[in-house]
Parts: sequence; structure tokens; C-alpha cells
Amino acid sequence: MDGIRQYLLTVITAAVLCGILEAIPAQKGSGNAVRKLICGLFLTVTVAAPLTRLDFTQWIPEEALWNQDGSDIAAAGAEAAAIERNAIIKSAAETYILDKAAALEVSLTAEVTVSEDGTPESVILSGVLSPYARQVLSNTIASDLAIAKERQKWIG
Amino acid sequence: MKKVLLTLALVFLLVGTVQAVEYTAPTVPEQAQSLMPPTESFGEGAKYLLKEGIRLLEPSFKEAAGACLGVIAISLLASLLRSLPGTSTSAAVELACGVAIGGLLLSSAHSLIQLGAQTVNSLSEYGKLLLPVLTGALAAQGGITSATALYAGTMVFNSVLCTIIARLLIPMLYGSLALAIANCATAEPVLKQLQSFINWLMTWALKLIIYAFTGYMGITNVISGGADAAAIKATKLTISGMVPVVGGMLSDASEAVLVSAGLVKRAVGIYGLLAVLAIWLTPFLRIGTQYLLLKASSAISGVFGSKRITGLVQDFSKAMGLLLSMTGTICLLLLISTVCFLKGMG
Repeated sequence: MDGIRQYLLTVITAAVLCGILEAIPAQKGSGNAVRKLICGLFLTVTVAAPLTRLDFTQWIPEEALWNQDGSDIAAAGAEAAAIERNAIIKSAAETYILDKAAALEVSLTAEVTVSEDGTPESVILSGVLSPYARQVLSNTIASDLAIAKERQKWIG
Repeated sequence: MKKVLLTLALVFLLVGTVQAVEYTAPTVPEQAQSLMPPTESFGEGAKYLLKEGIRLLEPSFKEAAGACLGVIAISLLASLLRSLPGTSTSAAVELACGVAIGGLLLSSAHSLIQLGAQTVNSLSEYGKLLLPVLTGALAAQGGITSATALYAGTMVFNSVLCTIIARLLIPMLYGSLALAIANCATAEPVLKQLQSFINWLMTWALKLIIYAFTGYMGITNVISGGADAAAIKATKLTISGMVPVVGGMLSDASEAVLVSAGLVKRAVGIYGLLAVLAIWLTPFLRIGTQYLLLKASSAISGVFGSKRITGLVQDFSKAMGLLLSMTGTICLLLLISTVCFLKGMG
């Protein structure tokens, strides 16, 4: 800001000086034209001089900003969405199993693990139930939720 | 079948209680907080801002009127001095009046230029906080490619524009004003031409940036929007090949998250749009009022003032116009990018 103030003061002072010079009544001969030419040249140099000191490299934004592509932010957003989606699927799958168990008049708890792509991966079931009910429920989980019998862990 | 439907209904009930992606818009800077509309509707918010703008018009007008009345008074005085019989000091009067008007207008112009520079900075900084939130929300909605491309483009254009305004256009604006005063004092045609060139360069630079930015946004929307649509179609095809119950759960859960992320993105976007407008409103009114009153002053002083003095006032009004363009360009850039983020993935 000091540079701008200095520049403004210089240009205005130069302009006032030239204005005073030109306001002095004209002498005989071609002196007036020469005076005008000198004033014009002096003002042009005063105005244009800072342009020679311009540093174009300072206009390039900071490297960090220039190289930001947002992929990390977008990836974080997509990951957050996937986590929420998986939480919904886990809850829905557990509700589905409990619903099926209730239809068989069995009381149990289910803990479903969901893979990264959102498909139910494994399940831990705990409760007391007859071999028949266990067989029916295990088959239903395998066929409807695509959780193979070897990935079903029964407790109790 | 009945059980499946019941389960799906349960999924939807769950979705109602689960916040899919928690993103909140950055808080508006302190100086614009009083103008922030207490609503989530863009229409209502815009109306509120308009009403606040009209309320703020009076103080802005009073502030700008002082300098303009001074200009008219000096022009009138110069006209009186010139019309005195037997005066041979017309050039000296012209010079003295030019310097007096220049000095008077320069002090108010300086504070407005500083305000403009500060506004550009505030808008740019707010954009740097808002855009990552919109990027995350758009990516959560499935527009990963669009979000990445929009963010990269907006951040680059935002920082380029901010840097150019701060380091090139603001100094050039001061240079233009110095040339205007010098031209008024000496009536050198070369100074006038140089000043016209500087003004043209500033206008051209701003236009070029905004054209390039809108072009980039348009192309990005078409290319990356297509890529995201293809990715979502591929996901849907994969889901359709799954076991029906699992496929249904996955499809409903994905849909619920996308809808929820879309709602979050919309809320953040609308808040962001209103925040950008709230930051811009006060400086716009102050600079705009000064611009209009300087235009009016140049018209009035044109009636009795000299051509040089009228030209000087016109040059100052042009400078205010350019300052309005600078703040307007960065505001427009943020509005366009926010709208593009809102439009992405619907």
C-alpha cells in the first residue's frame, strides 16, 4: 500500500508541476511547444516507470491452491456416504433376520457385518432355538441375504 | 413378500432418522452476519436481502453525497472565478480546481477501493470454506467426478481472480485515478490515452476470467456429469444382478443416502448463495451509490464546469464502476460455482 501511495504522490506531483509550467504565459518562439513536449515525456516516464518493475511471477497463485484438485475431499464425501449406506444396510439386514425369527416364534439377536461394497458379509446369531428353526433360519439367511452358512456364527 | 415390503418400509423409517452425510455451511463472516436472512428458502432470503439493501441505501447515499456536493461546489466556484472580468488566470484556476476535486474524490475513492479489496478477499475466503463442503456433499450424492472437476476449476479461478485483483487491478485502478488527475491538470492527450488503455485492460481482464470460468463450468458439467451418470448406471446394473433381497436393501439404502446428501447439499448451497450475497450487499451499495452520484455530479458540473473538471469526475465514476465490476465478478464466480454444485446430480 505504501508503494501505491508513493506512486500516486509522484504522479500527482509531476502532473501539478507540469500544469504549473504550462500555466505560465507563453514566451515568444517555439518554446511553448518544446515545454509541452518535455512535460508530456516527463509525465509518461513518471507514469510508466513502475511498469518496468512488474513481477509477473507474483500473480501465480500459491502452489498449494493451484494443485488442489479436490479428489481427497470428494473421496471423503463418497466414503462418508458409503459408511452411512452400510449402516442402513446392516440395520435393515438385522431387522430382516429378527423378523424371520419372529415368524418362527424364536427370540434371538443378530449382528450383521457389511462389506465395503454394501453387501452383508457375515452374521453372528445368539439365542436358544430348535434345530429345525435354526435350519430354516440359516437357509433363509443364505438364500435371501447371500450370507453363506460358513459365514453364519451361531452362539447358544 | 409381505415381510419384504415391511422390511423395506422399516429401511425408509430408518432413513428418516439417519443423517446420511453431516455437512454444514461455513458461518458467514461477522460483518455480514446482521444481513443474513433467517430463512432456508432462497426466494425468501433474496427478498430479505433486497429489503435490507433498501434500508441500507440511505446511509450509503448520505455518505456518497458529501463528496459529490463538494465536487459540485468546487466546479461552481471555478466557473465563478473564470467568469470574473479581467482574469487571466483561467489555467491556474483549472489546475487548482482539478487538484482540489482530485484530492477530495481520491480520499473517498481510496476508502471505497480498500472496501472493494476487502470484499474480494472476504468473498474469496468464504468461497474457500464453502466449496469443500459442497464438494463433499456432491461426492456423497454420487457426483465424484463432477465434484472433483468443479472444485478444482473454481478454486483455481477463485485464487487467480483474487490474486489478479489484489496485485494488478487495484494498483491499476489507483494508476488510472492518478492519470485522471494528471490529465485534468495538464490536459495531455497521452495521459488520457494511457488511462483509457488501463481501463480497457482492467475490463478486458475481468471479462476474460469470467468467460473462461463459465466456459470451463459448462464443459465440466457436460463431461463429468456424463461420467457420474455412467458410474451410477453401472452400480445399478451390479445391484440388479444381486440376490433380490440384498439388491433391494442396497438399492434403497443407496437411494436414501443420495436423497439425503442431495438435501444437505441443497441446504448448504442455498445458505452459501445467501451468504455470498450478504457479504457483497453492503460494499455493492456503498460503491454503487458513489458511482451513481459521481455520474450525476459529472452531469451537473458539465452544465457550468469546464470540460477538464467534468472529465475528471467522469473518470472517478468510471473507476467506481470498475471497482463494482471487480467485486461483482468474484461474487458472480461464487454464485455460478455454487449453482453448478447444486445442479450436479440433480
